[in-house]
Amino acid sequence: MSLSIILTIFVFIIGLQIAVPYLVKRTVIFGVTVPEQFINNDNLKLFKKRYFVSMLAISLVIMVAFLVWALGSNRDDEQIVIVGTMMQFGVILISLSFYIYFHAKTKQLKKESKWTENLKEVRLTDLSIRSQDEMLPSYVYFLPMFITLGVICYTIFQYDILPNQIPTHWGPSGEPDAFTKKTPFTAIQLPLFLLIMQVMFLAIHIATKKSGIKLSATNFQASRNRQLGLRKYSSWFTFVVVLLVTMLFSYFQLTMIHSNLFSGMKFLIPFAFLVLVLIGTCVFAIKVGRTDKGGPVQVEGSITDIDEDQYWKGGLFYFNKNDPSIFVEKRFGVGWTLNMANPIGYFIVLIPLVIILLISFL
Amino acid sequence: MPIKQTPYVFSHKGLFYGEMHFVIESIEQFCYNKCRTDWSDEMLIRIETESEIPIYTQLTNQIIEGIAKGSLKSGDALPSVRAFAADLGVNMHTVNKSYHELEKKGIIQIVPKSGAVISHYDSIDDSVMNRISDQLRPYIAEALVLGLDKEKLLELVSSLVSDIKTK
Repeated sequence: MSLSIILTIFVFIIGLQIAVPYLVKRTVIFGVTVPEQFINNDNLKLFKKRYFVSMLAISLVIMVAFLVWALGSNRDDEQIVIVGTMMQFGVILISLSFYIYFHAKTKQLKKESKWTENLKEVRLTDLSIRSQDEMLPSYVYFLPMFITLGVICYTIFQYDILPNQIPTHWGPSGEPDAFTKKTPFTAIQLPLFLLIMQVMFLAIHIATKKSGIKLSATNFQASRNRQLGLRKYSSWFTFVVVLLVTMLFSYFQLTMIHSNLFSGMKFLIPFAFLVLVLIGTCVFAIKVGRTDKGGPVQVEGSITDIDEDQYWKGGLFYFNKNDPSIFVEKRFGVGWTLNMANPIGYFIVLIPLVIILLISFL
Repeated sequence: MPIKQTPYVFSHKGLFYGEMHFVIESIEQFCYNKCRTDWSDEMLIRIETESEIPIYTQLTNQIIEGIAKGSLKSGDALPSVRAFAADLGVNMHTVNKSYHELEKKGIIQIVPKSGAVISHYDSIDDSVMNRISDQLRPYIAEALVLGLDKEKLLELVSSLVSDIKTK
């Protein structure tokens, strides 16, 4: 049971990590800004292919080794989960090391080939771009919150028939495995966490909406399609995730009240949640990844976009005081990352965490 | 040269695609129609970071040209300072400075909470004439000194006017 969960996650992680160089913005290769004129350089294509092949080979070796080990002499569930999780982190770390390696090589190639010399740096925006933004309106996030409030009210209404031990953790089989004493507070603890998460998702949505739509002077159409696509699909994806999380947590809360509910599906529902989120992630990554590929490279020769490399510390962390955006597009991956120079980003991420910790320990 | 923009469309068809799309579209229309400038064409703003001309001046000049060309009309709303600065990747002070300069020239009005709106121009009052005249004077003097006669100068002005209005 745990094995199938671990394997599913493994396959998705490997699949996505391998495909990343082909899904990122076309002018960013292994975290290095490459002027549009040179993105089809043969060396760069070779780097991408080498990354793909090496990652695929090593990940498959690790996965097969893990499988052989796990199916071998009686391994108990806990061992499988611990080792399996370590393997997954291992794959991610390996992908990171490859990234760092190819990041250095690309940077060196860029310096040696002097790509950005003699090109005039230009910033571009379109005053009409905001009106073309297709992100979901913020108020859709109130829907899951209403559902949570409904669950809370229902729990309070049914307080008397709740068991004296309130589950606080569910294992991979879908059965609760840790409990706490019943009090009016612990009875609604789970939906409270859910509410806090929903507020966090709403805050993330609003922050993303306010973040800059970065257009490229050298390839306006491609950058426009990518930015609008990223915003639209990530707003939809986050909303779908919030809905799925709401359904999952509500399901757990309801089975606590009525323990016979869904009795055949205790394993299925959390597993379905996992699979749906993973599939959603892949769909999201591929849809966004394709928004700026395939178009012609139509460049006005002597200009280039601002070289963003200076703001990306270690090629991974964005730090730009002049940029009021809270989130920016990730460099090596599909999605968003925080602008470390904007304090609001820290609040959005840390405050819900602090509140949840306070609730758990009080 | 303005390119006719293709609407950004969902290209993936799936179960309930039509119905879901309709519901989402209606929600979006309701939400966006409250306050929206009708952009028929793109209105590009381009900044050269290494130019001698400061960024806020480049912004001011391009917005003014956009209005002259007709891409921006009186009553249109410019994006908020924060959104504009985030999209362009420049400091908010820079955009703020540009907006204030435009307001001083009487070209836009900064309405608190609503943002910047492009003003209506009815009659040309004297102060405007004087200001434009003062701005033009040194350039005309320079042109005369460097060999352009009155006729060439008028030709140049004429071609600039048509260039700005039609580009």
